[in-house]
Amino acid sequence: MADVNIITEDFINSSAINSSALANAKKISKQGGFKKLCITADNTLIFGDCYGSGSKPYNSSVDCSGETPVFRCSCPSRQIPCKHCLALMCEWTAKKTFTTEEVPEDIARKREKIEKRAEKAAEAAENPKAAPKPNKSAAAKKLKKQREGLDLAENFVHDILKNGIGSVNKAAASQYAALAKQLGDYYLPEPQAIMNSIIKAVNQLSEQPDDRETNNIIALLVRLGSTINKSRAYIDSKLESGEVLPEDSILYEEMGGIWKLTQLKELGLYRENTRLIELSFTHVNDEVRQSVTDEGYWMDLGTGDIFRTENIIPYKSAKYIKSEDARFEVYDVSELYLYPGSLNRRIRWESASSSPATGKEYCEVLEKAEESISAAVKKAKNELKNTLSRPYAAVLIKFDSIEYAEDGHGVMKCGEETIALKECEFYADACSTLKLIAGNLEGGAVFGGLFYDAFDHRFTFSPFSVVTKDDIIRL
Amino acid sequence: MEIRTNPFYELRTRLYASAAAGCAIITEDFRLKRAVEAFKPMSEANKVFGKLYDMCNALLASEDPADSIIDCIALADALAVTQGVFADDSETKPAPKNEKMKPAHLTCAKIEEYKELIRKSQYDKQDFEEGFFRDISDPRILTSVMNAAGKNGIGIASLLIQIESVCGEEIIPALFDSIDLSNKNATGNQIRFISSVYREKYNERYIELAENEENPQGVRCAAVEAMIFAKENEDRLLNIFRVSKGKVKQSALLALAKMNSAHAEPELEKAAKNLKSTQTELITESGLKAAVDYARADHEVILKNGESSRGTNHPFSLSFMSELENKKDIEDIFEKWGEKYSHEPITPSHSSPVFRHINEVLVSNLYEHPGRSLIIDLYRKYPDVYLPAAFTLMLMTDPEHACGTMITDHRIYDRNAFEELFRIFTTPDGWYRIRRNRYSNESDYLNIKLFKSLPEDILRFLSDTSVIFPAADLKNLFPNGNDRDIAVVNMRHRCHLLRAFYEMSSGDDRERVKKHAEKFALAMCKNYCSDDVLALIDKVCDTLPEGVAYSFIRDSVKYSATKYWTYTLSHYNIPDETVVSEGNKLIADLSKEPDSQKYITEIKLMLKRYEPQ
Repeated sequence: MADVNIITEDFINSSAINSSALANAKKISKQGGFKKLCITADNTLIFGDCYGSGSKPYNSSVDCSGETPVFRCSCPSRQIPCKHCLALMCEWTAKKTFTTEEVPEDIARKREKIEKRAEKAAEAAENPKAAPKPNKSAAAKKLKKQREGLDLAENFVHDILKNGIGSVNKAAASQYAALAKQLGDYYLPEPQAIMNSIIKAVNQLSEQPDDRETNNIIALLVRLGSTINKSRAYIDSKLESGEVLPEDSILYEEMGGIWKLTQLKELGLYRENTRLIELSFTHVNDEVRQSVTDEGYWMDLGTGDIFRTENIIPYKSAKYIKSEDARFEVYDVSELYLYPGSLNRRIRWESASSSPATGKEYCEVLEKAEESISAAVKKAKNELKNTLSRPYAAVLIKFDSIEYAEDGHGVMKCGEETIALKECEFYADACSTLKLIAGNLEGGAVFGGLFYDAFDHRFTFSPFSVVTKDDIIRL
Repeated sequence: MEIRTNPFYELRTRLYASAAAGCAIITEDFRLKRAVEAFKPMSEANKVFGKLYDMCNALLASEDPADSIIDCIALADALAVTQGVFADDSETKPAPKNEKMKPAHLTCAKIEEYKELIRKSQYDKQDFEEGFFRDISDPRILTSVMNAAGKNGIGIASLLIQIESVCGEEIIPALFDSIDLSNKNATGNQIRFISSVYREKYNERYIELAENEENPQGVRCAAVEAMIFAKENEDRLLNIFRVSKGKVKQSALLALAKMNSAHAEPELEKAAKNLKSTQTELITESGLKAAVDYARADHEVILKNGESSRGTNHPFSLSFMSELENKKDIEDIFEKWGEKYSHEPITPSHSSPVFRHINEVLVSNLYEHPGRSLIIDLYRKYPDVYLPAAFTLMLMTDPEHACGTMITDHRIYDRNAFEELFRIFTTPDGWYRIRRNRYSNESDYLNIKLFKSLPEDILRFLSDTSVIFPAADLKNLFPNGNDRDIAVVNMRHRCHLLRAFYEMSSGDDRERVKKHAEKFALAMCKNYCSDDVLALIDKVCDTLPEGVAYSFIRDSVKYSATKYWTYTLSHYNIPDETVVSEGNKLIADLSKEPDSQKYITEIKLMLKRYEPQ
């Protein structure tokens, strides 16, 4: 059993759902928002009354008697922990005076319930039920439905390509938007999202016509068209063969399928005892999909493979789901699950132990960096030529120096080779940040995304972080 | 073998254009046909190119071109990626070394928190925590400061001073880089900051930014202003004045006037003959003869006939004392003012703005000109009039004795001392500094380093309990309302300042401030317990002084020491039971006094909030 001494500033920071909750909590604590601060004699519970916008003070508590702390508050917020619980913890770390009191009745009752639930769970763990068999007929039914949906999406693509982007007036755009909404009934969230992106881009284009934007719309249409064609062939082959369950193919996800870890394991898509270190982390905002993705890039220290983690948080639930953040330790993962794909495959794991990263690990990362820009570009070409690929290939490239041209843009030099550095929307200001430290760097490797610019017919490199023998510097 | 790829890119462009225009009548698209034909030789050299050629020909003959064009573009795109190049042959220079940069392991949440603070700083004075200045050396934080550096606002101006004190000159290249020359509304405030600290050191950059006519007007004006620090810029500024228009032209003239350049004299003479209210800066900023003559003549009139004799439309109708700024050889005017005011009684209720403004001019001059001897002379001759300026000078030259020597014997000047002490701020490099203005702003970053440890003399002055009068006696002691207000201000501002010094200090200094502040707060609590006292107690007292709620309620209800006092009471860390017990005790005491029913009713109403729900 733990006690309230586990509450530290780091603990509060890591418990907060978002930075605004934390800022509000600090404000409450700073303004002396608590009327009453109490602690139980066994040091397992702190509680207090906090004045909020309601007529009565909110009863907030942090219960550390179990394996994980339980946050309770009578405020109407659905965030756990809410700002009042965070503020209560701030009061604790600020060493305010807490008077010793008995456990309040309602909390004692809730503790009992938790204990009973834990007992039941322990019993269930002793007598595990057999894993449910996958429902093949349901899977086949879903595939047929998706096949119907693809026909709808195809009509959309053909309509625009036949009549031209100019034919999409306001009326047509709203019709297409209705069609995109309809796709939701056909289990095709990803094609739906691409359709929405196209409709949005076309609407914007009519306000400000632009060649580059026009080409982006065509590229999206081509991507959707290719997805439809490939998905249709995939579904047909599945239905014909009767093997309707997902297989090791990116198409499953491209249609909007969501992998379960058990499915990945059944397909053999996992590695054992992997050591991972995070190379970069960012939040990617996607207005079309109405979500924010916490995206991290990781290196497998054993193989040098670069993977990515994604934690997708829809706007609607952003207040209630804890977002992930940058991690600086080395993670030992007993079972690492890999999603289908080639370069920068998505990964997940359920449990891992961590230890601080040292110079040894940074050197290991450096050893696995690409020795030349051309080698990295070759990898990127192989990846990006696929219509269904992501917009860039994340690679780690060694460099000798980073210098700056007259117009201020950065150029990374590796031996005789050079490549232009360019800001990318996912890591805003990374190039400006790199410029501040570039003069201090004596070699190392830059981790970033290789983008192909179809207008200039050339690759550019967007830095995400810099690896030196002493550190991984996030940009 | 190198393949000439132009026909391929032309074909790809045509495919995109056909798709965008609509491919229903693609069979008639002669441009696409021509591009396909031009691509033929290439298709013979490479298998995949050949495949694309065949597909394009099929597309031109297709009845359902929409499906075919997707495949053609997909293949063309894949080929374009494989043909992509990466070398960048631009001429480059190494980036400058920046030893102060120390990348930290900060989470995105922390970075966002800092960015939010920086973003907001233009609107409000920010309370940046200690950790911020520790992490400021992280390039990501500094980048977002740089992004905000050109914006207007006291917050960002103050932040730049703080950051420069941590990072030193090494942030200057980044600050220059942060000037957004593509934004026509760019302010160029970065240049104003750089020149205020490093003067003529970056003169070449100022010239470059000022002379390039392509640069935004705001940036050019700021660069022109910065050019005044190098005497050799006179001819360049004259040239800018001659060839430019609008604000840049005005800035160049003002710069020449500030430099006391003879080139500006004719323009200044012309302006002085019929000065417009938009040209007052030319007079205040210049020490040229025309400006001195103008100021002298105007002051002679005011001294002789009074301010109102000049009419309300005079360009300096509100701030004629500023005419004396930045000028030499004008001691006689200061002496005349000294003479005039030394015959008038200087009382605590003296509210003449002239008396305050004339000292402000002398203090302002201290930041840019060697005007110390003038203040000393004037103070020697007219101590009562020029004491405020002499106090500020002594804060700079002998801070250990400034308050003790200048103020203790002249309590009437407490207000002037507060004005000066409110300008003191600290920077993370450990210095206490004094600003020319009460707050930093983007047109005036000037400040002077004072000391690294807060002088005991200032603390003694601020915690001097002899200025405390009981709320109950104020009316009797100060029958004049003005005098009473000043007595209250003297008490309240001490609380403000002690709290401000407590918040800005650290280490040993903080302990010393705490000790003095605690003593003062306890004495105030017994005599005049206002909201400022509660705020001070909340900061500096470890335990709640006995009877604080009693005194606070009493002084608020009976003597109106605090407006909205019930709200204040509920927002400080006073336990409910203390408020209730001391409130009841006060009711009991008041009930023994005559005419106290209305106070009792008010207190009872407040105590209802504390009843168990």
